[in-house]
Amino acid sequence: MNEGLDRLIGGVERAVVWLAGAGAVIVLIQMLWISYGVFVRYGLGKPDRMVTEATALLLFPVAFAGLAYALREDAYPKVTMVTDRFGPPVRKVFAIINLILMLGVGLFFSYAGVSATIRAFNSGVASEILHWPRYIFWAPGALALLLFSFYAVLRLIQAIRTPATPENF
Amino acid sequence: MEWYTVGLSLLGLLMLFIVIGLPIPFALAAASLPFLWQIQGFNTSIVSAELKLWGVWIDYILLAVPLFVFLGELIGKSNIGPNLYQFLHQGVRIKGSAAYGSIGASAGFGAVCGSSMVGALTIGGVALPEMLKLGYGKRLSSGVLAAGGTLSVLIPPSLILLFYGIVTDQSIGDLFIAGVIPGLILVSSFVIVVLVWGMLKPQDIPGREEAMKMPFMMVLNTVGPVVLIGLVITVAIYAGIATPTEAAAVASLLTVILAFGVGGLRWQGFKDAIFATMRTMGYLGLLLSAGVLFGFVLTYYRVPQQFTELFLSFDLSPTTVLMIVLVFYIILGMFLEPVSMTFITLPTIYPLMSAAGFDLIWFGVVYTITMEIAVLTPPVGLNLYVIQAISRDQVTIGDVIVGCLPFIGAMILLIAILIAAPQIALWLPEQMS
Repeated sequence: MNEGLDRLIGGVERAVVWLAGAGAVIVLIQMLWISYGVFVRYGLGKPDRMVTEATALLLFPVAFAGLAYALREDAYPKVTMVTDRFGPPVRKVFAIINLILMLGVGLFFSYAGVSATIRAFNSGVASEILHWPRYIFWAPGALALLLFSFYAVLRLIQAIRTPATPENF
Repeated sequence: MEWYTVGLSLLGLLMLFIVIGLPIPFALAAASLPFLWQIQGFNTSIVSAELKLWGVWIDYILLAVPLFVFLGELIGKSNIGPNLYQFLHQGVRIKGSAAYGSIGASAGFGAVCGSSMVGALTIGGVALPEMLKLGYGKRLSSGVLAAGGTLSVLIPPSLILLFYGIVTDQSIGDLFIAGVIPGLILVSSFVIVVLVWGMLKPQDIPGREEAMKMPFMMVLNTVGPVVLIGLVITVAIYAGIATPTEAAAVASLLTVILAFGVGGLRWQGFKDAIFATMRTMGYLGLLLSAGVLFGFVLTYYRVPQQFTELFLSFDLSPTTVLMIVLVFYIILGMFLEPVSMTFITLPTIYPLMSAAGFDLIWFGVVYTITMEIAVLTPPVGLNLYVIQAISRDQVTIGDVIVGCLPFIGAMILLIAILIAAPQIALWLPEQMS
C-alpha cells in the first residue's frame, strides 16, 4: 500500500516539476519579449503594442505554476522554533494539522480558479487591448492550483501513514 | 464586529497558525478566510477571490518580481560573485583586504541582485572558508559576510523595496534611487566597523595576506559584468529610458549572456537558476494572493484607518510614533522573514506613517534597513543560518550572532542619521524628478 502511494507521489512530483518548468519557460519568454519591446522602441522607433499587456497576462500562470514545486522543495517560509521543542509524535500531529490547513486553502483557491475559468469561458470575456480570451490565462492557474491540492492530499495521507520517528518528523 | 475585535482576532489566528509551523502564505490565507466568509458568505467570497486574484496578478509592475529573482539566481549560480570577491581581495594588498573585499563584493553583488540570502550565500560561500584559512577571527569573518549579504536589499535593485512600493503604491524608481546614498553610507560604515575591529582585536585580522595578482583580462571579466548589469538597471530606470520591469528584463537577458560568456555558467546552473526562481515564485504567488484577501478583510473593517486614528489620538510626537514602529519591526523581525512581514504589517502601518507626516519614500528606506536587521537577529535570522551552514564545523551560530552585533549597530546608526537628515534618502529622487 505504502509502495503504491510512494509511486503515485513520485508520478505527481514529476508533473509538479514539469509544471514548474512550464512556468520557467514563460518567465524566459517574458524576459525575451520585454527586451525585444525595449529594443524595437529605441532601436527601430516602432513600439511593440502587444508586449505590455501580453507579458502582464502571462504573469498569471507564472504566479501559481511553482506552488506545488515549492511544497515539494519545502521552500515555504515558516517558523518552527516552537514545534521543534516537541517530540516526534506531537510534531507529526502539527504536520498533519498544517497539511490539512494547506489543503483547505489550496481547495478554496482551486475552486475559485476553476470557477473563474468556466465563468470566463462562458462569458467570452477578453483582455482590454489584445482581446485575448481570459480563460486561456485562468486555465493554467486553475490547473496549477488543482495539482497543488491533489499533491497536498497525497502528502497528507503519507504524513498520516508515516511512523512518528525522529527521522521522519 | 468592531474593528478592534476583528484586528485582534485576525492577528491572534495568524499568530496561532504561524506558531504551529504553518507556512506563512497559508497562515495568511487561513486566517483571512473565516472573516471573508463572515463578510460575504462562501459563494460571494469565491467571486471576490477571483476578482482579487486577477486584479493583483495582471500587473506589469509585478512582472519585475520573477525577473529580478531570476537575475539574482543567475548571478548566484555563476562565478560572477565569487570572482568579484577574489578581485577585491587580491587586487587590494592591505591588512584586512579579505574583509574589505567581502564588503565590496557584497555591495557590488547588491547592485545586481535584490535578495539578501542569495547575496550572503554567494559571497559567503567563497569568502568564509578562505577568510578562516587566512586566519581571520571566526566572529569577524561570519559577521562581515552575514551583514554584507544585507547590502543587497538596500542597494538597488531590491526585492523588499519593490514589494514595499507595490503595497504602499509608491514609485519603484524613486524607492530604488532613494536607497543609493544610504546604501553607500552603510558600505562605508561596515568598512569602519572592520577597521575599528582590527584596532580593538588585532589578532582577528592576519598581518600579511599572500595573494596572487589577477591578470588584466581576468579583472575585466570580473568587474565588467557587475558594472554593466548594475549600470543597465540604474541608468535605464533613473534616466526614464525603461520601467523597472523593462530594466529587469533587459538586465536578466544581459546577465544570461554574461553569465554564460564570462561567468562560467553551465546549462545545469542555468536550469538550477530558473527552477530556483519558480520555487521562490511558488510561495510569493500565494503570499501575494493571500495578502490581498488579508488586506481586504482589514480594509472592510477599516482596521488600518481606525488603528491610525487611535494611535494619533494619544497625541504622540511623530518621532515617538516612528520609534514605536521601529521597535515593533525589530522585535517582529526576530520571528518573521522580511517578505512575509511586508505583506502582513505594511497595509496597517503605512497609513499611520503617512498620517504622522513621514514621507513614504523616506520611510521605505528606513523600513528596508529594519528588514536588514531582521535577517541578522535570532531566532529567525535567515542570513545567520546561511553563513553558519557554509562552515558548520568551524563556526557556531553564536559566533555569527556576536559577529553581526557591530554591523547591526552600524545599521541602527544609519537609521538615526536618516532621522536626523531625511534628505540623505530624499535628495536623489528629488533631483531625478
